[in-house]
Formats: sequence, structure tokens, C-alpha cells
Amino acid sequence: MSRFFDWLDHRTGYRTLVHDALYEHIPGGARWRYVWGSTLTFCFFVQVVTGLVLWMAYSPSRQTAWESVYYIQHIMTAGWLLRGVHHFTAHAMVVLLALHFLQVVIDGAYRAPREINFWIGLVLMQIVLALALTGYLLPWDQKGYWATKVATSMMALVPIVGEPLQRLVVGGNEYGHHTLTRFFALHAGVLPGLLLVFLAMHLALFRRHGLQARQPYRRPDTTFWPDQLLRDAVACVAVMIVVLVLVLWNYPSAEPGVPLGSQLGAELGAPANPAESYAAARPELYFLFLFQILKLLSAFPPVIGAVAVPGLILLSLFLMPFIGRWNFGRRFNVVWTIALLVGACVLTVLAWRHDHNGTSTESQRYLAAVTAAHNEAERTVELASAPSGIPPAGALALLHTDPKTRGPKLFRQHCAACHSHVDPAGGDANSPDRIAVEKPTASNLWKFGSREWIAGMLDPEKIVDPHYFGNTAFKEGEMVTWVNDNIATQLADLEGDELAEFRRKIEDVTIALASEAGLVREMIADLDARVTAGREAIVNEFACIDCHKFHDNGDLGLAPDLTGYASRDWLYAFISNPEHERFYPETNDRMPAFVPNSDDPAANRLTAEELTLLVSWLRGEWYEPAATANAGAE
Amino acid sequence: MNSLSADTSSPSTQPPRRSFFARIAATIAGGIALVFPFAAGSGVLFDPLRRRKQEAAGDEKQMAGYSRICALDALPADGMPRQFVVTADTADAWTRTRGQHVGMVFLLRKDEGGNPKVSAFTATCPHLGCAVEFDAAVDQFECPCHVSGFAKDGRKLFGPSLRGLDALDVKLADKGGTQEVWVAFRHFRAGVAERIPVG
Repeated sequence: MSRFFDWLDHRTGYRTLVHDALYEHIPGGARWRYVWGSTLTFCFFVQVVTGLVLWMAYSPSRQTAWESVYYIQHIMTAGWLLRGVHHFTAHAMVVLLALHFLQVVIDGAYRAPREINFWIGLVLMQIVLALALTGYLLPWDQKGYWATKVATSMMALVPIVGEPLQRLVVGGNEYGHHTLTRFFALHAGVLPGLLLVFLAMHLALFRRHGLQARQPYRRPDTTFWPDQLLRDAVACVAVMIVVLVLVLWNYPSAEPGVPLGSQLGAELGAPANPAESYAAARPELYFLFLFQILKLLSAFPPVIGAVAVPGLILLSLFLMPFIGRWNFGRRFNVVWTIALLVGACVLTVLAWRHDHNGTSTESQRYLAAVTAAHNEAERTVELASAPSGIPPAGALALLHTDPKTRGPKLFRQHCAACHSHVDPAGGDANSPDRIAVEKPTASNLWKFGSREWIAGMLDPEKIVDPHYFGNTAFKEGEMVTWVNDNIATQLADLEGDELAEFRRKIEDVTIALASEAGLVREMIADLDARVTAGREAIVNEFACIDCHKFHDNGDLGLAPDLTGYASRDWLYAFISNPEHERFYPETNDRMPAFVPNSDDPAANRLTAEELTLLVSWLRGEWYEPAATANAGAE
Repeated sequence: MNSLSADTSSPSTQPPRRSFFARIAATIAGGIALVFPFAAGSGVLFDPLRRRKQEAAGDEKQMAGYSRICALDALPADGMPRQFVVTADTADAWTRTRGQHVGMVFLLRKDEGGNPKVSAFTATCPHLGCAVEFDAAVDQFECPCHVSGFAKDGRKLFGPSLRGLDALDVKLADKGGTQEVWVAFRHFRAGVAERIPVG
């Protein structure tokens, strides 16, 4: 065997190489303070390996970026672990950069002949930060999209070259496929390549100059292997443990049954949507201090806070070898570095507190936006994980056609000027379906057409309440008169069994009418007999057909058609045009026709698709995963 | 051409004149070889600088560059800003999409003497491109990122933005008896005082 190695060494000289690599001289013995550079190299190694594996599953384009990251995070085996490690190692790297820099400045390791290596280190720092910035966009989720938009807008503020540079990086004027392909090329090709070149120079110069040993020497001189390498390896393992802890942070509180991808590792927000504002747009944590500088310097043009101040700080770092030529300068460098680090921490805390204090309106808005974004992200994952999967148009198309998330938005935009949508019984105050209106001028459409809703309509007190006709012209209308003359008087006059009998009759009518809607959530098989009784009462005893049409009885014209009341078709037709003969041809109270022209979709307030979404949402009909399906699931 | 030259400053065995030409030639040839891949890539690399304008979305000829936002009736004449999604046909590199959601605008309608008057602002903050929101409680627009505030007429009230909200051109079009609001949706340079359209 040894003959083989002799031969190999003769042909390659590998023994000298290995010896040079392992037996670097370390004056004064191995120390923990020398580990920072090695931990950074370790992190870079982790990023290269995990990044290459991510690359094998990532597809940069507008319709596939989020989708492929979703697939990694939620479907592929331990994809959440891979993404989490890549994400949090990036965080670790930024922190380790700061520590490495601090150690270099305290030890004065920038002094002759190490100036150039110090500058190479600063270049490496910029490359690492650029890697972090470009990586943030690649999942193409809302937070990455909006934060990076701010970052590239700031890039355009650099005098002269900024604007063309921005177009080159973005790949055009607007964000699109080429923004992703270019960011990806930077993130996975250009920047790591540069980093490798500069890292090689950094290490070569480091070896050439030797370690800047800390005086006084506490131990006899030693070599890199094994004394210092042991410390370095232990430090790397410690970094690894910290990263794993961050990835698994939510594990103790993880809900059983929910896939780990939804709970662990790096967050994946809802897919980027230029038409959906994101009030929680913030840069990654380690850039938050720059964000805060920008806010503090709001009295100055943005170019000051975004370009000039960070540029000057960077310049002051590059000048350290010159400043450090004097004893006083060296102390100044240390104080200045510590001041910058403490300042960055303070600014980060300030920015964080401003967003998370929960008392200011700005903070409440931010937190609400975070929750909304979180819900939307979960919903997108739910839809993407459905058997029908993600269509070729991408995950955004899933959200566009989802009644559960589009419904409240459409309702807010088109209906909530008059109608509210709140649970009269209180219910969950944070429900995304709860849309309160300060002064509603029309009925509350919560569970419109359900038994509960119709029962209120037939209740002499409730019908004149703001949840029903209280704030409309119908308060003085025929229906209220009828309820008062018939139901209210009967309820007052009747006693005992007769009263119970009458109440049962009202309930029959309610059940019969609610069954017209065909709501899945209202379907109960053993109610058939009561539906028949209720239909009978609608026609005969209650004589609803004096005003309303109900199947083959009664006529249109006086009051809304009760045939198929609150069914899909009924709602669609009613919202399209409430003044249609079927509904309120004479007595419509201010409600506009939303889709009056069926032959010219462009002339309508709502598109057919939007109206369908709105109807589905009002009826509580949308996709829910089987495990948690509610009664309203399709 | 040979070692008999008088001006040998070094005792090299290399013939100096030949060496001089060889150096020049080697530098040029090597330089060409090194530049070659960069030159081959420069066209695609700098393509975004040449492609100043994406092909306009083609709605209708007289409305080129305008997007239909809503029916005029959908906009109450109370001067309150309402947010709308802008849809347009887009071309993003190889993908052409009809009716894509491309951005958000605020429309305000305040009729004068019976004549409808609609103004439009893009929801993109002129500071650094976040999306502004209208806060009805304080009756002003606010940006959630770096807290710029704007009045209902788009004027800047406070914060780091160097200009007010970017107004967009509005056209009212009669379409089969229905009045429609059309807006020329575009982007503007962020972070500067002047209003410079992009693209």
C-alpha cells in the first residue's frame, strides 16, 4: 500500500499539499477565537450542497417558481428540512460574518501586510449579502416579491448606472419570468462563482501571511491539525445545531396530523400577486436595520437612506487599514465597529417593536396583514394539495377561482357599502368571512337563505331589525305588514298546544323555504315530511303565494320568486338584476344590477366569473380538504 | 531577429525583438479568446436595455394603452377612493396572457354640475414601490412600508416619498349605453421627485 502512495506522491506531490494544508503553524496554541472563518467556510459549503439539491427541484418562471418551491416544501421527502437548512444557514452566515469581522477588527488583523486580504473579506461580505438578497425572491411569494421590489427600486436610485442596472437585474421594466431567471443565475451561478474565487484568494493570502496570532501566547505553538481543526469542527457542529434548532423551532407545538412542511422550516407565503397589496412587506431580518434607517431618514430624499448612508458606512470599513495605522485609529476602528453592530441591533429591535407592539394602528395593520397573508398561504397550499392539483396557469389561478378567499374581497368591494356579513350570534370575531359595516343600509347576508336566516325573516321583531329590513324601504313594506298582521298576532293570541302547533308550522315553512336553496349544509334527510308540510303551508295556510310565486302557484311581479329561493341560479339572477320581473320589478330598493347585460360582459360591474365566486361564497360552497371538510364543502 | 541585437537588458537567451512581438500577439490573441464568451453573451445579457417597451396590450384601437376598470355606475360620486384591480393583456417574455391582473388603482368620482369627473391614482407608492392603502378613518392614503401619507387628491402629506401619488389618465367611454371608466395604467420611476414613466 505504501508503495502505491509513494508512487502517487511522486506523480502528484500530494503529501506536500496535505501537509501544507494540515500543518499550518499556529503560534501561541489553538484558540476558540480563530474559529469564525472556518464556520463561515462551513456555512458556504452547506449552502452549496443544499443549494445544488434545491436546484434539482426548482424551476424559475412565473408559473413554476412558487409551485416548485411548494412541491419541495410540502410534497418531497424532507423538503422542508432541506429548505429550512438552506434558509437558516443563510441567517447564520450573516451573524457569523459580523462576528468574524468583529474579531478581525479587535485583533487588528487588517494591518500591513494584511490590508488586501481585509478588503477581499469585505468583498466576500458583500457577495454573501447579495446572495441573501437574491435568494429572498426565488420562492416568488408575496413577501419576497414586495420586499425585492423595494430593493430593486433602491438600486435604481444609484446615480447614473442605477437605472440601467436595475433593468438588467430585473430583466426588463417589470417583474416577470426574466426577473426570476436572472435572480436565479445570480444566486446560483454568478455570485457563488465570485465567492469561490474571492474565498480562494482570501484563504491563499491568509496562509501566505499566517495567522494574526493574539498576544500573549498562552500555550506552546501548535499546528492546524488536529488542535485548531478540533475547535473549528466543534464550532461548525455548534452552528449546525443552532440551524437545526431554528428549522425545528415549531416542532414542540406542531399539530399532529398537519404535514410537517406546513409547520417547520422556512415559511412559504402566498404566491406573488402584483394585484394584491401586501401590507407586511418587510426585508429579511438582517436587512431590517437598513429598512429602519430609511424610515428614520425620511426627511431626506430616498437616495440618502438607501444608497448614501450604507455606502458611506461601507467606505468607512474599507478605510480601516489606513485609519488603523495609528494606535488611536485602531481603537477608533474597534469602537466604530461595535457602535455599528450595536446600532444595527438597536435599529432592528426598533423596527421589530414598531411592527409587533400590537397597540399602534400601524402595528395592528401590520399584524393583520401578516395573519391574512398567512391564511392565504395556507389556503393556497390546501388548494394546491387538492386532488385537482395546480393547473398549468400556476397557483395564482387557484386563488383567483377560490370562493373562500375571493368571496370576502368581492363582497367588500361590491356589496359591503350596504350589506354586512356578520354572524348575528357573535361568533368568531376574527373570521375572514366576518365583514362588518358601520352603518348597513341593507340586510345582513350571513348564511343567507338558511333556516336560521329565513326564521329571522318570519320573526316580527327581527324582520325590522337592521340585520333584515330595518334600514331599508321594505321596513314599511308589505312583508313587514304581513308578518305583523299574521305571525305577530297569532303568536300573541294563541296559547298552549295551539301556540306550539303554530310555531311548528312556521318552522315547517322555514324548512321548506330553506330547502329551496339546495344548500349542502342544510341537507338533512329526515326533514322531508316537514318540507312537504311547509310547502303546503306556503301555498295554503300562510298564503305566501298571494304576493310571491312558488313553483306552480302565484304570480311574478309583486314580490320575489320563492321558487328555488337562494339557490345558485336564484342568487345569480337576483344579483345580476334585482329589477328583473322575478324579483323587484317595481319596488327594488337601491340595489344596482351587477350583470345587466348577459351579451356584453365588459359592460357589467361583475364578470360572470366574479359573480359565480360571490354566489358560491355566500352559499358557503368551496373546496375543503377531506379531513376538515365542513358541512358546506362541495 | 536574433541575439546579436545590442540593447539586451537582460541576459536572457530569448531574442528580444521576437519576444516583443510574441508578447503583443499573445496578449491580443489571448485577450480575444478571453473576451469571446463575454461578447457572445452580451447580446442576451443587455437585451433588457434594448427592449424599452413591451408591446402594448391590444384592447381596442382607440383605447390602446388604456384598460377598462369598471362601469361608471359602479363608482359612487362621493369622492371616496375605491380600489380596483387593473386587468390587461400582458406579454411577459414568452407568455402572453389575456385579462391578467397587472396592478391596482384607486378611482375617485366627484361629479361637477352633473358631469361625471373621475380621477385615478396608481396604488404603487412613489417612494419605493409598495402598495398604498386608503385609510377611511383618517381620510388619507398611507403606505404600510415606510409610512408615506397622501391626501385624497394625491398630494403628499408626510413621509419619505418625494412626490404625491401618481395620477393616471382617465377616459370615459360610452359602450352600448353604459358609461365605462378606462385608465391608462403605467408604472413610474420610484424614489425621485419627478414623475418619469417607465417603459
